Amino acid sequence: MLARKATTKMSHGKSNPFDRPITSPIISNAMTLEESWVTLADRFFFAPAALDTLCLMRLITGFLIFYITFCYSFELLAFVGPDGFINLPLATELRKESPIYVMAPNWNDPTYEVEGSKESLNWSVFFHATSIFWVWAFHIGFMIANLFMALGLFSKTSSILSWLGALSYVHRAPSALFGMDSMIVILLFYMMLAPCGELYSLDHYFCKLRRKKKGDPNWNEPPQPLILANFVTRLVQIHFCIIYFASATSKLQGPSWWNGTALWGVLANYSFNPMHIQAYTSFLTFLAKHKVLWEASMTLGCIFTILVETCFPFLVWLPRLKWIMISSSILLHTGIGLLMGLTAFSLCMMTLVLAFVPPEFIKELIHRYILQKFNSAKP
Amino acid sequence: MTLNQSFSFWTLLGIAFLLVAIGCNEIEPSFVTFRVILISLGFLFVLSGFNLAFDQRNKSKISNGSLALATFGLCLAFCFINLSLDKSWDSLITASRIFAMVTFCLTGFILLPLGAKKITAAFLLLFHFAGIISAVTSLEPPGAPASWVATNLWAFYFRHYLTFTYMNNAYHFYSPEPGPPTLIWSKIQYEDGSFLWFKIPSREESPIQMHYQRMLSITESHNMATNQTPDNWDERLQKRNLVGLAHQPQILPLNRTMSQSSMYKEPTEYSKKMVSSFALYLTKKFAHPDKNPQTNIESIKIYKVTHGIITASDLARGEGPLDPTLFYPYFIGSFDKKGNLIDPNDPFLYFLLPINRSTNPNEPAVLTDSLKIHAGDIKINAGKEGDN
Repeated sequence: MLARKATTKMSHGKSNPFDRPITSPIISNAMTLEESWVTLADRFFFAPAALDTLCLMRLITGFLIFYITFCYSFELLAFVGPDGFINLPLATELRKESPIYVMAPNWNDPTYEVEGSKESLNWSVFFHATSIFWVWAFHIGFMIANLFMALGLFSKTSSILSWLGALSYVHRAPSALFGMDSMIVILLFYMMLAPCGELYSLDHYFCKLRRKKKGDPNWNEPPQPLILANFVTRLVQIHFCIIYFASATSKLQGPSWWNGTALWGVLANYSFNPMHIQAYTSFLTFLAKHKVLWEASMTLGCIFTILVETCFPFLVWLPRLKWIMISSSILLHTGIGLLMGLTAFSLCMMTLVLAFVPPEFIKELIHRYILQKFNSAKP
Repeated sequence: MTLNQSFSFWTLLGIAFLLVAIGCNEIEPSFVTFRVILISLGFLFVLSGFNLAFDQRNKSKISNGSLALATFGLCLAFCFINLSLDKSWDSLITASRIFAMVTFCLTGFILLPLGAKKITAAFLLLFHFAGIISAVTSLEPPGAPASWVATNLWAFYFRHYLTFTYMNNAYHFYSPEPGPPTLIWSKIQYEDGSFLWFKIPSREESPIQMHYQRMLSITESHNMATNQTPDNWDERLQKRNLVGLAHQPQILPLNRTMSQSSMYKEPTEYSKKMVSSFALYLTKKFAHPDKNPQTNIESIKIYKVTHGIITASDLARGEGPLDPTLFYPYFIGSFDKKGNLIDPNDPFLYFLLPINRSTNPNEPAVLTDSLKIHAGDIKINAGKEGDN
């Protein structure tokens, strides 16, 4: 494991090496180019980092996955039951009889079936637990694990179980999935790897209590920075950049993103947007009645979306632009959440963006605005 | 350290439960409930042991060797789960084998010196992100095949890992363009002549926004259409138009100036299976009408409806997003009680059933709704706007 305890504090008191200018003495004094890249990569991935960011991400992810799992409850058997939208024989057929074809490595042959590709590695307890009792039993079990994850109780166990649970739903009900499911699985995957229960958790609270009871003078000390925390944070950051870059470049294939009308296709889509709410439709009608305003706002919206998604992966690493990029991303996802009703998806994206926020900032924020008020409210 | 803080206690307890589950599987496999409880508890205990060891290692209370021991316990647990499951639980058997391998490798990884750990982690990171990039780039761009390199890398090296962990998304959100949504409208016809319409997604029927979004995703999974022109296209189109004209009331013919892809949307084999399964689901959900529980379902007609996005100019003119002419229904088939397509040679199958409004300025606007005519909801000829 990379969870080796940090022996020294980060230089400059920062856990994020990229918070410093790129002309750091480490690079300028580098002996050779190769060495400088190795050093840089080593610092980037394996410098110990504080745990505040990851632990806050765990807390939010836990509540999000609890909500997502809970929402299955309204029609659980339709999604994962044996006679649901995808009945069990079809689910088994899709799992075992879905060959993959690829283009042959020479010019003359057509595509061919990849050997042994019929059976996929989709797995789920709901493929096998087919009685109503067991479907509900596993569902409730997963919800309890999700809640434990959010509260930080047996954090490692509950985060692994939450990930296993989420995969059980997505593999069993592939037709009911959308972007949010991908994002929550990504979050759960990284949270499962991370030491994310060390702070803002009941585990941490009980640990402090135990140490205090034993008379440990350092009972209130925060956990020390860990290499694993930095490594997982970097994984989340890189993954998020890939998501944005893929999303931006794929949008650039579409003419409507170039002529500035794509946003209308997003905003005036009756099934996605709250067009059943009079105020929203009135706002769109107002825009539509003023063509210049309509053109300007649609074009600006498209440019903003493309710019944020294209620039974020590159500019977020620069200290001066980091906060602008993070704010723009949060603004974009707030818009998506409010206007398109994709609240959970937007919250997942914002939780991923949180990985770019330095742990010191989160620590300061939580201590100043939450813990202090909480403590001062105590009699 | 008390007993409940000792990772080895929980690991051993869990393994003991799993061993009993294996014994139960050998002696009396019919005790499924008992076995599932034993497996679940055993797995939970071993996982708790790993949880404790992980926490204690982070706080430097135990050595890497102890953490490796707890991880090996987890590996053993997966091996035992593998042995205690029925053969019919094949997906979980495969998953437990994979987890056993992963935890075995993790045990070795924990015991490596820090430098070797970093190098191994760097290689794993490269594999992980190379896989994700292969998933992103192996999707076909509009009107062109996908990259040969990306598809082959994905198919041969990364597919299993990405499928297993559900990291296969290409992240092409709203691209290349935001398209219109698809709705599924089903008419459930009972033997006594009564019927009901079931439409998804429906804001009124969804108890929560997330449920609504999921129903919207279900309609999208039924919406994958082939791009190929069907055999005897001209003949089929002619037959569809002739049968439509002979129908009482008439079903609007399709104009040849329209593109073939907008007149006809045959679902892919995957979507056909999804629709069939959906029809079967409906037969169970709405097996009998509320008023007459003795009556059974006669047939289910399913329509895939593309809800066009209203243009800004139309909205400015005062038209609404729910104008009937914005709906483009395609007949997906009539299904029996077992979810089987009743007539694969139905002349309307996969064809558009247009909803049009007459544009003659000298006459009152008349709306002709071919969907309702086809479904049998309109028995007389098309009436004035608002009649249906």
